[in-house]
Amino acid sequence: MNELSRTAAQRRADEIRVFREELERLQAEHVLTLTDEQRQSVQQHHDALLGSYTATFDIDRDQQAQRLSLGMRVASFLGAVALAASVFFLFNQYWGLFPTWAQVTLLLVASLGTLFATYWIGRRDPTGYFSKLAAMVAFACFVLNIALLGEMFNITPSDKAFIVWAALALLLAYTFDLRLLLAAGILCFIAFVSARVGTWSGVYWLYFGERPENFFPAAALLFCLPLFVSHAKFQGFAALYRIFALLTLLLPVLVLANWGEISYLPFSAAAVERIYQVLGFVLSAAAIWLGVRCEWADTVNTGTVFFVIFLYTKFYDWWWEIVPKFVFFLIIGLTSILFILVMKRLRAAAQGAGGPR
Amino acid sequence: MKFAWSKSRAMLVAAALVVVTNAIALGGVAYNRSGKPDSVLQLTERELPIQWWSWPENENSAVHLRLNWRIAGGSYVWDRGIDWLSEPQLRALGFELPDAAASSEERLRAAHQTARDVFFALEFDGPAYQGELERQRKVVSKAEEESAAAVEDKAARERVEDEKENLRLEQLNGSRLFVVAVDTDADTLRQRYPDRKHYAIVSGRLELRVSGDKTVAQIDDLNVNVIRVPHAYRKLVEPLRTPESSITQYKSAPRYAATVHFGRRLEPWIVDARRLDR
Repeated sequence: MNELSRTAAQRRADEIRVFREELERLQAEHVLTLTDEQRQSVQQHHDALLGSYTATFDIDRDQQAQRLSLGMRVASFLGAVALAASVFFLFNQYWGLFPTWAQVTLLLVASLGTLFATYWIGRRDPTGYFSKLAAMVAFACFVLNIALLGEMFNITPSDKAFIVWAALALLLAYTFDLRLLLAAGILCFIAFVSARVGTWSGVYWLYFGERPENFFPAAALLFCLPLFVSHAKFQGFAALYRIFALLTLLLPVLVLANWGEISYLPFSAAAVERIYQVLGFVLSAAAIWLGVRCEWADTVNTGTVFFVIFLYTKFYDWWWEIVPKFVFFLIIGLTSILFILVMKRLRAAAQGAGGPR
Repeated sequence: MKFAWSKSRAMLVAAALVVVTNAIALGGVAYNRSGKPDSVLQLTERELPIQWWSWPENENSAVHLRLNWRIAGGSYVWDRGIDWLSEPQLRALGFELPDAAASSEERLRAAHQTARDVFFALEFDGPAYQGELERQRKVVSKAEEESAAAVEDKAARERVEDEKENLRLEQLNGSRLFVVAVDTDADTLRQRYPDRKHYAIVSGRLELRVSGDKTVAQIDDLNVNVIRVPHAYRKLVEPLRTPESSITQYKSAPRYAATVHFGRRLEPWIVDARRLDR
């Protein structure tokens, strides 16, 4: 039981609810008839499981509870962001009034204190809503801690701050099963790796974004990580890695497909744009193919969005100026229909090969 | 042996991460400030005006002073372009420059080169400032000659007064801190400028600007361009922190002076600040 995460418990509870509904239908249609003893046995087993999940994880037992939980998740996210902002402005407002030793102590105590508070709340909050709030504040305090130390002592800004921020965010994300902190950690990791890659070519680290190719190694690392490290216990973590990996890969490709002069490649801007336009189509199509093959809905969706963006960008370049607007939008509409047909065939092929697991 | 991961272990690791990171940051500060400073400059409000922030930093209760540097030979006070760096020097700093026959696209690509990490030599109250005063005096002389040649020209007379006022302000509150040299190696700059009381070596970024057929280097900024006022001197500077009291706006003399040390990592800090009698 302790091995189970809240998300896994919720998934099992959802499956039990669907099983019960289907069992009722099967019995009503006289396809399957369980004896009273069998029905009671299944019912008791499921009730015990649900009771235990509710006690331990405060899961949603029905659809109405699920809808309310979604609202709580949204409130928890907004609350976490607002509390982090509140901590920032609190420090900002009273910061200069303390002597240096008090400032350093305050920063350290805030970082360690909020970490302890997160641990304390995490042990008492099976829902995860309050631990998410506390973990976000702990992360914000640590970010402020390092940023304000730099400001206090006039330290030269460094990209190394991102790697320790990433480390803490990932530690909190994996300990308390928090996707928000995982996203924060991934963003810090992307910033660190991309800045490092940028400095190899002599670029000042803070300007790593001016050369979009700096993001590619981070994209590759993020995509490979869930392939080698199992995330079975953390629902949604592997998908988040893949989504960020594709965004980190395809957004720079999209930028380079339109502004070739900011590339590292030693070709003319037009040639670079053509290379990245082709690469954009190939990579987004490959993402769709891989997503369908591995049943990664996140990868299929992200690949599809980028494929469509690349396609429409090219349509705009080719036809916006030279064809009447109704023809332009007609082409867009017909292309969408074609795209749906292709996706339908892909889906049929995937189902024919064994269907969704 | 299987390693058992738990929330308490994770929190211990997280706490260790916080403590070690703080220790490394503070250790770096201690290293920078240990031993003899790399340079010691006696600056005033002319070179260290109060830094103004926009939201949200303007709610920051800490007080910061900005290193108000200028370019030797710059046309304007706010000009960041360096026209005394030759093409071979720019290439040695790591820039790829378009040759004379380069197409407009090649020039555009050169202009898109990102800023590079370099070191600057900052000269305080030295030949560069004297050169600036001399240049301004010549401007006044030229304006006076033109005015004398056209006695009836009211605009020429006004120009003389304007230039005299510019010279007075340059002497009264113009920054005497000038960027005089650029290199990729701090030691090379220190060897060229061994006077540690008038030359500070700082790190910063240099970028390229292409205007027409000309490629000019310009300073993006210093890596540490603002210095925090220590708590002990906060009461001295904080009352002056109103936009209306800027010395350049009110054409007034500097109101405070500060001793700034630049340490082993070339990071500056204020060791002393005092009011100036006006």
